[in-house]
Order: sequence, then C-alpha cells, then structure tokens
Amino acid sequence: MSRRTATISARQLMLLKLTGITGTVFLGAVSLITTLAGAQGFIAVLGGGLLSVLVVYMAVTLGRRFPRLTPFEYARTIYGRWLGSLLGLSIVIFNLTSSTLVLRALGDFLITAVLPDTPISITIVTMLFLVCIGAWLGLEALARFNEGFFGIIFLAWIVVAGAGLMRIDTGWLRPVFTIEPVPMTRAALASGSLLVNGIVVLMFYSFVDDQPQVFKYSLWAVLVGSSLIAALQIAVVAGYSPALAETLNYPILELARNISFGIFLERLEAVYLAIWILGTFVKISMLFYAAALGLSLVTGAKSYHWFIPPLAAISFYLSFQADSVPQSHLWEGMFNQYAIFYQIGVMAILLLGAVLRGSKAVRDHG
Amino acid sequence: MTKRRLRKPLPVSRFACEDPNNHQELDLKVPPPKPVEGQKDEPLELSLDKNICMLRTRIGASDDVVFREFRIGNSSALRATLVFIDGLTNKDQLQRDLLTPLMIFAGHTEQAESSSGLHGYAALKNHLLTVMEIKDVSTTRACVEAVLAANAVLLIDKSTEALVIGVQTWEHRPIMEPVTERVVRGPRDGFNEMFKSNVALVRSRVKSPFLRVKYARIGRRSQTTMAIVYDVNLAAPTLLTELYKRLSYIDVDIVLDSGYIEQYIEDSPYSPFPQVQFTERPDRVAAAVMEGRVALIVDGTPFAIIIPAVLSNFLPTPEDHYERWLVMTGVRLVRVLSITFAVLLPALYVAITTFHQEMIPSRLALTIAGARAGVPFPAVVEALLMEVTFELLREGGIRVPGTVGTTIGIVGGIIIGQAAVTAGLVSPVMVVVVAVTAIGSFAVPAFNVGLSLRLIRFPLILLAGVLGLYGVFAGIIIVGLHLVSLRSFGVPYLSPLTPSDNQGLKDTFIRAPLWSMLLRPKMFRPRQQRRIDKPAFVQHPPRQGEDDDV
Repeated sequence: MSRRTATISARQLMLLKLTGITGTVFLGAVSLITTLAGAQGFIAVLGGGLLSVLVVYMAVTLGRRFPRLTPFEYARTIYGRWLGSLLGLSIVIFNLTSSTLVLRALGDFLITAVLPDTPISITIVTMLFLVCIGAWLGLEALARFNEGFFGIIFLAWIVVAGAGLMRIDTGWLRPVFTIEPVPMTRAALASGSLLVNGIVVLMFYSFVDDQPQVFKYSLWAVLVGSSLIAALQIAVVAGYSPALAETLNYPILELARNISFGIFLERLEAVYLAIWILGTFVKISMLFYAAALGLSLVTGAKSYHWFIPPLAAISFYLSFQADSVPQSHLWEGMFNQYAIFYQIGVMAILLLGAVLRGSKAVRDHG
Repeated sequence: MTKRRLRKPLPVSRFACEDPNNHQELDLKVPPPKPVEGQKDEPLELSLDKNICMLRTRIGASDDVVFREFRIGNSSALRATLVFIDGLTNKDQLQRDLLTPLMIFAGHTEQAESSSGLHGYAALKNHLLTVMEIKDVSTTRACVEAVLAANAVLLIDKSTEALVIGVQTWEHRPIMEPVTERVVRGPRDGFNEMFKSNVALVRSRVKSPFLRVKYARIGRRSQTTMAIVYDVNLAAPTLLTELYKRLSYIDVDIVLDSGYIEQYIEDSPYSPFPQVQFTERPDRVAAAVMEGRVALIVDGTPFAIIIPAVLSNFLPTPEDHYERWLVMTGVRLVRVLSITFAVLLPALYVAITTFHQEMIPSRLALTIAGARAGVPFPAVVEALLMEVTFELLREGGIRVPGTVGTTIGIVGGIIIGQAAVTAGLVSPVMVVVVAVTAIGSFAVPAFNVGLSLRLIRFPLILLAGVLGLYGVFAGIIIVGLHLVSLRSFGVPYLSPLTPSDNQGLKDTFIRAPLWSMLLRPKMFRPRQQRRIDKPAFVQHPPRQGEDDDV
C-alpha cells in the first residue's frame, strides 16, 4: 500500500532537481571536475549530463511501472520482503551518506570562507536543526519552499556565471579534446553523479500528481543544470587559468568575490553564499527526508517523523568523522566519483526485477 | 480531540477532487448555540399570570425589562402583556403599530375574524398588527431569547402561544469612512456596528441573484448574530462545508467581535501570521465574494472577516484596483520593498557590521566605524535596544489620546533618538536604520501582518548577531518553512507564488490591468473560473483607429 502523504507537481519536482544540482556546486563540485579534467571540464559536464539523462530515463521507466509506490515499497514487491528491505535500506544509507557529506562540506565551507571564528559544530548543528524542521514538514513544504525561493537562488547563479563569463580568456580552453579518456571519464562520472542528484526522480516520482510530465521536466532540469555547471566551469578555468583553478578550493567563491556593481556594491560574496545556502538546505533536507521516509517504510513504522531525531544524531556523528577539511574534501570527491555507479546499479537491479516479474506488478500496485 | 481534528488544515486534495460542473446549492446550517446552564425550556401556559411569572423568573429583576400590561379592545376582558427591553426597542413603533391597534382598533377583530375565517393569533397578525417582522413562539426560552435579542414579545391570556415582534433599534454610529483602510480614491463608506446595514452595504454592490446571505447565531450568552455571505455560483462547496463545520463547533459564552470567530476557525492557531482577512470596507467584501471567497459579517463590529486568506491578500489596498495599473504596480513593489526593510534591515545591518565588513564600501565603512567609535555595545545589543525603545514608543503612542500620541511620537523619535546618540548609547547610523525600519513597517497595509513582521524581526536580529548572514538566512528558512506549511481553509498560504498560479500572480506583487484578469484566481477553487463566460467585446481598450466592436 502506498504511504504517500503529499503531492507535488512535475514542475516542482523539476525545480527540486535543479536546486539539488546547483545546491552543492559552490562547495566543491567545480573544483573536483577541474582537478580531474582541467580545462576540458566543461566537456566532462556535458558528458555527465548525457549520463544523467540515462539515469532519469531509468527512474521514470521504473516510476511508470509503479506509479503509486516509492522505491522502498516496490523493491519489496519485486524482490520479496527480505531482499527488498535490504535494497531499500541501502537506498536509505546512500541518502543519509549523501546528506551528511553535503552537510560537512557546507560546514567546512562556512568556517573557511564566511565565519572563520565560529566552530564548525555550530554551523553543522544549525543546518541540521533546519534540515530536521524541513524534513519533518515533508516533501510538499520543501517543494513549495524551493519553488518560492528558486527565483532568487537561480538569479544569484546567473549573475555569478554571467559575470564570470564576461571576463574569460578563451585561449585557456584551447585546444579542446586534448585530455586523456580516463580522467575525462572520471570527471564525467563525477559531474553525472552531481546531475543525477541523489536519484530525486526515483524517490519522489510517486508523489507527483502529473506524472506524464516528469520526464520532460527532468530533462529540462538536466539541461539547465548541466549548462549552468558547464558555464561556471568555463568561467573558472578560462577566468583564472587551468593551473590556478586547480589550486582553488572554492573557485565559485572567488568568482563571486570578484563581482562588483559600479564602485559601490562590491565584495558581495556573502550575499550570494547566503542565498545559495537556501539551495543547499533544500538539497540536504530532500535527502534527509528520503532517508527518514525510506526507513519508516522499510521498518513498517506508521510515521517517518520519529526517525528524524535518530537520523539527525547519526548524521551529526558521521559529519565529524573527517579529521580535517582536506580529508573531508577527499571523501566528498571519492563519493561523487563513485556514487553514480550505485545510482545506476540500484535502478538497473530494480528495473531488471520489474521486467522479469512482468506487467503483473503494474496491475497489482499501479 | 474533536477540536484538534478540526484545526488540522483541509488538504488541497479535497479541493482538487471537486466537480466544477456541480452547481447544486448546499443546504448548510450552523446549529443555534447551546442554552446557558440551568436554563430549562418550558411550554407557555394558558394563564397569562403564570407566563409573566415564568418570564420574570427567567429574565430576573432587571429594571430595563418592561412588562406593559393592557387589555385588548375597549370592552374586552382579554388581558395581554408586552415584554421588551427599554433602549433596545423602538417604542414609537410599538405604540403606533401594536398598542394603538390592539387597544383602540381591536373592535375590528371580530368583524375581521368572521369575514376572513381567521381566528385568534392569525387574525391579530393579519388584520391588526402592522409590523413587518412577526413570528409565533410557544416556549419560555424562545420568549426570553426574543426579548434579549431586542424584540418585543406579546403574551395574551388564555393562549399558549406568544408573538415575537421585530422592533429592534438602538443608538449606533452612522456609516463613516473606514478608520483602518482609508483611500484617496474609492468608496468612502465603511461598515459600522449594525450588522444588517453592513449586509445591506454589500448587497447594494452585488446585485446578483446568486449572492447568498445566511444568518447564524454564536455564543451561549451573547447570542451574536452573523451573516455568512457568498456567491453560490462561485464559492467552492468544500470551502462552505468546511466553514460551516468549523462554525458549528464553536461553543463559547460570548462573541464580541469577529476576531473571536477568527481565532476559532483559523487553521493554525499557533502561527503569528493571520489566516483570515479582516476589513471594514464593503467594496473589499464584494470583491472577495466575486473571487469565490466567503465573508462573515458579525453583529456589533465593523470588521467583517474573509476566508480563505493567503499572504498576498494582505499586500494590496482597495484603491490599487481603482487607480491606473502601472502606477499601482510601482506602488506594490515599493510595498514589497518596505516589507523587506521592516523585517530584514536591522538584522542585515547587524550581520554586515559584525561579520561581513568587507561588503561595506570603504568610505561608508569608515563613516560607520567613526559613528560607532564611542558606542559601548556591540551592534546586536545596540539594535535590540533601539528596536525595543521604538516598540515602547509605538505602543505608548497608540494607547494614549490622539494629540498626546503625536507628541509622544515626536518626543520619542527626535528627542530620545538624539539624546541616545549624544549620550553615546547608540550610533546615528543605527537611528537611521531603525527609522527606516519603522517607516517600512508602517507601509504594510494590513495591521495584523505588520504585527507579525514586528514579532519576527527580533529573533532575526539575534541570529544575525550570532551567525551573521548565515544566521539571517537560517531565520529566513525557518520563517519560509512555516509560511509554506500554512494553509487557510486548504489554500496554501503562499499561493499564488507557490504553488504557482499565473492568474493569481497578476494581482500580487504586480497589479495587472483589470482587462487582463479574465480568470479568477485558481487558488480559491471558484466554481466558475472565468469572470465573464462569453465577453461581449474585446477586453482591452481599443487603440486609436481600431474598431471597438468585434
């Protein structure tokens, strides 16, 4: 039986996906892609975009087979109680790990760039508190919150990307296609993982009221998201030179720092960052909500709300496992490179099972 | 348990599943208030003396309750008693339309009875009493309720029925310009405390046969009458059903203002944001009813309430629709800016001066640093000090008589501000920030929203003082999450912004031309989406040289 407690529109799902993509770009994604692919990073982003289209297609195909069920539920339908629950639990762990890594990355970023005198525990606890409220209120509230603030978040991105592109030297990008296939593939996988964005479509497909529109809107999200990241990648690499860009921990912060309007409004990076943090909050909350909801469905609990405090405690504990900022960056980079394999893998397993079971599952639960 | 269930917001899905083609009119009623404890309901007796005795016992020894005993006709031995409250009834009308016919012209009754075939009360009602409102009652409680509701009750000997005669009148304020919603251009009439004249003011604006005015009473002791006003062709049945359900669950002793009703029917009682709109203006009620919303006009108060109400309903003023759209769009944007200032300016000042000084242009930074040089407090304490002082002044200014209030405002604003700067307690920049914040909060058209904004300003200042811009945005996230989770009778509070509704957005941050608003806002789920089914002509004004009939 479906445990849907909210409904969102396909447009809201698209905006959630887009915010999920852009929510962590300023934290380390551009830096990672630049490290892996250098000046050709923007090509890797476009490759990652194509990869994420494949993942979106798989997620929508699965969703169409089980339009009223979440993956936690239809995993049990396909593979039985124990194996299905195990699969559902793995999705829960994936979402929780993703959210924790983003949480830690945000904490690192804040103490490095904005609040150097504030302990990281304060920034993490504050964000975790907000995330708990967001997850408690549920997907509908998160989708509306994101829809309400999306305009200002995206405008901040457009301003930074636009201003960054205005001062590039295209010579740094030439010659194109000179990179080795392996680093290019690794960069494409990392950007693909970012663009897939924690399998949002898979998680929330059953909550959408106009499901036929999901694929179209998701493609738009991938297109816009990958274009934005590619533009930022170009702005960073061609603005600072590939060699300098590779040394920057937070290249987007540097881009934002250099934007000024006239001689009056300058050094506005804190404003951009504060606005982007709204997006980061939405991303972490989404993943956290998915983890709590999944856990409630796997365990058969009546409500997901009671899983939020223990998951928050686990997340808080895990976010302090990295001893230093470089170690945290390393872990985040590794996760981003290999997460795409898990995401494609879990969907392939579910899709294969659904196909082998035939259309019966659709009639029973659709 | 029941109340908790009632307060749970109506899910949007309930609206979504409504059939727009279902035009069946609902037969909804609010049950009358429960009787006051210890009040028994007894039938009237044949003996007039016993009935009078029972009524005296019920009403008690109040000097303003008049028992006027008389005999019907010149020679008849039939006794009667008129019971009414002095000051609440029109005594001239009683004398002219009731006592005179009964005491002087009652001789005609026999003739009338024989010719019409009517007897007793029927003959009295049809031939003698020349009053408009009249009805029969047969119990003591009904008699008491009628007397207390400013009617006159006629008791007649040897009859187990009494007549309730509607002769209410009392001193009241004339129809005046609304105090809280003044306009430069637009109607100047506002509601007063007379419920029926308030309903009439709305009726006079909407001459539609589909306008419904349903009366209901609430309050065990106050027996307050209210009118539920809606357009049966527009208001969503789910909305009406939910409203009646919530009204029927209200069980209080007294209702003195529509604010009482508001607090019982709102979805989230713990929210600082109003989920019901109040207005003194009949044109505003008429406009709301034409959008498919429902108005409640409560006796004894000039404030009608309108449901559902979303945040964007509190942004416009009535004259926004009476002036040119482009100008009023500009005014609305100024209002949005003023709201932003009212909420965020002190917090942003504290965050920037404490944590993000690099954002301030060098010259301005030097000026601020110079101004703050002698101030012993950090910016957050300085801001809180000034804000609290300002709130004290504002509260003090409101509660004292007009001229004194103005004096307090001047003394507070100029003298105390100047004195605080001279004493080195606050910097001049902070005085400017607080002044701009105050002006911004005055520009919010809805008083109750202004109160909410004042409330959330303080935690934002504290967060800014602790975590800088990160703290400010943490506060914004909390407020934003609260707003998106609020509903008013199932309508999301931030609609039409989110969930987005293009038609609704034409009348929020901007005010689109009236001729472009062909559809009603979707968020209220009106039964008829189009304002006019088939427009007889093009909706925009013809350009020069264009033919105006298509």
